[in-house]
Amino acid sequence: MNKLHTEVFGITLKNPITVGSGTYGFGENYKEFYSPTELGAITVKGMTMLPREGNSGTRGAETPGGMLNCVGLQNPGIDVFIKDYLPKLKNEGNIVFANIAGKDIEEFVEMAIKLENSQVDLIELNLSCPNVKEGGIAFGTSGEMVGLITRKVKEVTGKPVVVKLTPNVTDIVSIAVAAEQNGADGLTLINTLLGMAIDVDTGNPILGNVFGGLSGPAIKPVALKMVYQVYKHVKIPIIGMGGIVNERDALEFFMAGASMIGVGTGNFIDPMCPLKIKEGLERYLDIKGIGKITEIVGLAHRGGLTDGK
Amino acid sequence: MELKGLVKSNEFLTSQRDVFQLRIELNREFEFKPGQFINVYCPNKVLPRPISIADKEGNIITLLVRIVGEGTDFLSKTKIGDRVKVIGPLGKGFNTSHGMDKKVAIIGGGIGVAPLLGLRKANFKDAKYYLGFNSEGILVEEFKKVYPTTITYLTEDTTVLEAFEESLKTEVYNFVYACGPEGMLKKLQDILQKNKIPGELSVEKKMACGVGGCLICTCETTKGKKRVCKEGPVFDSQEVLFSE
Ligand SMILES: Cc1cc2nc3c(=O)[nH]c(=O)nc-3n(C[C@H](O)[C@H](O)[C@H](O)COP(=O)(O)OP(=O)(O)OC[C@H]3O[C@@H](n4cnc5c(N)ncnc54)[C@H](O)[C@@H]3O)c2cc1C
Ligand SMILES: Cc1cc2nc3c(=O)[nH]c(=O)nc-3n(C[C@H](O)[C@H](O)[C@H](O)COP(=O)(O)O)c2cc1C
Ligand code: FES
Repeated sequence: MNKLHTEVFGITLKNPITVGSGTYGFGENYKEFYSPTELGAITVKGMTMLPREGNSGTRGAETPGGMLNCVGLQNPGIDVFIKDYLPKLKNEGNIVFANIAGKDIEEFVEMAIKLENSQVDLIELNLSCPNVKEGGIAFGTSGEMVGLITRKVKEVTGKPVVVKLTPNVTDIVSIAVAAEQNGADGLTLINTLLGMAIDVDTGNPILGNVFGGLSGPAIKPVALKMVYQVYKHVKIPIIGMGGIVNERDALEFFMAGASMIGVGTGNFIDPMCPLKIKEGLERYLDIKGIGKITEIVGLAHRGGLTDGK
Repeated sequence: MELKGLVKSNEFLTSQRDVFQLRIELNREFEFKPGQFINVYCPNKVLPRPISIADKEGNIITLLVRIVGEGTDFLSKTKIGDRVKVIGPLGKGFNTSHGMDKKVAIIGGGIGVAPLLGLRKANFKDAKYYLGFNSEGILVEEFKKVYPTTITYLTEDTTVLEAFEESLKTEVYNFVYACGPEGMLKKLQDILQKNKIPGELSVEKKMACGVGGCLICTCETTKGKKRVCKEGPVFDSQEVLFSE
């Protein structure tokens, strides 16, 4: 029996493990390490309507326990994805989550329509990319906007729609609730936290874009808290991510209330990371005598493991 | 490919003890092209460090590293028998077939000589090395002991590029392989263009994944942005667009 088997968003997954959008390309980079079909689902790089070159200058910097990036949504555009990448991914047997970032509501809707007629399994709305000047963050910080975009997208697609939220807000719960009330099938928590780094040898900011998104182990406590908080107030499933690099991190997110987890920066630290987490989770469930991964979702809200486990 | 490494030797090449040569035995055999690199993991650092493979004999690779921060400092302190985790080989190396049956110039600045050292085993008809260490203080004599080849060593008196340009008055090169600081490569690009000499350059960028997944390491090229870790680090000499 597969203890990691998960049914979520109306999709059957062999395990509840995906990757953070933008950390896995379109599934082509880690093939020499393992087959991407080993993952429950692949979440592809964030896409825009038109191709984007992304930001110039230095795009990454290491920080204590994490890293900053300001890639700026470099991608070939949604049409190229649908034509060139998606058929291959589907032929290989992958479940594909498409992450999209529109510059306005109309673009989100237009992209959702394009994906509606594609083989994509789920649409993730990136309302939170911190590295694009003309949008992203502005949508994600207003409950009203998040609700509106979610509703408009839901009107044009029958595919599950998951809303990815930014942690750069004062009250994530109200925004999560706005997404749920407007028809979101799920939430992804969290995107990167805004940060910066300065090179003291030159006195200049390291990143070409000055600010960037902080990810990796450094943000795990923040992400975990947000998943825990939001879980209390919504009924829709949560994809938890933020600093997950091993199975113990993943377990924390399941216990906080995530139904799926995503590995982002963990892929850069160890290309095998998602697979090692998968094996680690199986081991944990066996040792604890737990029949299914779904049993531990939200456990931290229910008084933890009962005696004997 | 994930590899387990065992430190075979580790020695400083400079009197200031800022550049060292590390030899690591890997647990598997693999194909290697000069110019390719590995990602080395350093404890307490989130991301691996890209380091060129300077040489390879069987399963033993040689790295030439300059200490600039915590990661490289850690590597400088590893001892014989220490374990290190490595992934690689990564990236596209130099295309040595460009230089076969031809006369090539191999031009390196500072620690940029590291990826060029593997080229000394290629079957070029004739090869001349222009390696400059300037104020970095790699002890030439020390270096010679480790790499006893036909290298032309240059010191502070003149820059490698000046020497190379001067030599063009009397010599004809069919191909150039180079690596060094960005400013040097940009100047070299101009010299090569002016003299219509084709070549390949290895460039450096901040990296995260090293395998093409994150898009952190992109550089500007005549054909749009390319990933240094995947499409590079070696590019056609006229392809890369340097900023200054
Ligand atoms: C493809 C490739 C091959 C390389 N090959 C070699 C090699 O053979 N030998 C060698 O000594 N170095 C090589 N480098 C550079 C090496 O990766 C960095 O020096 C190393 O990552 C620094 O790590 P650290 O933890 O010591 O320093 P950090 O603490 O990360 O940084 C210390 C200082 O060094 C600067 N720095 C960090 N990374 C780089 C970089 N990639 N380029 C320029 N400056 C940097 C930082 O901005 C900072 O000022 C290579 C880099 C690339 C991309
Ligand atoms: C290099 C990089 C690129 C990213 N690109 C995207 C993106 O295109 N779309 C998106 O929704 N999130 C993007 N993210 C955010 C991640 O998907 C993830 O939410 C975040 O990094 C937190 O998880 P982690 O700590 O495991 O990396 C990116 C993150 C990184 C590090
Ligand atoms: S370092 Fe990640 S794409 Fe090059």
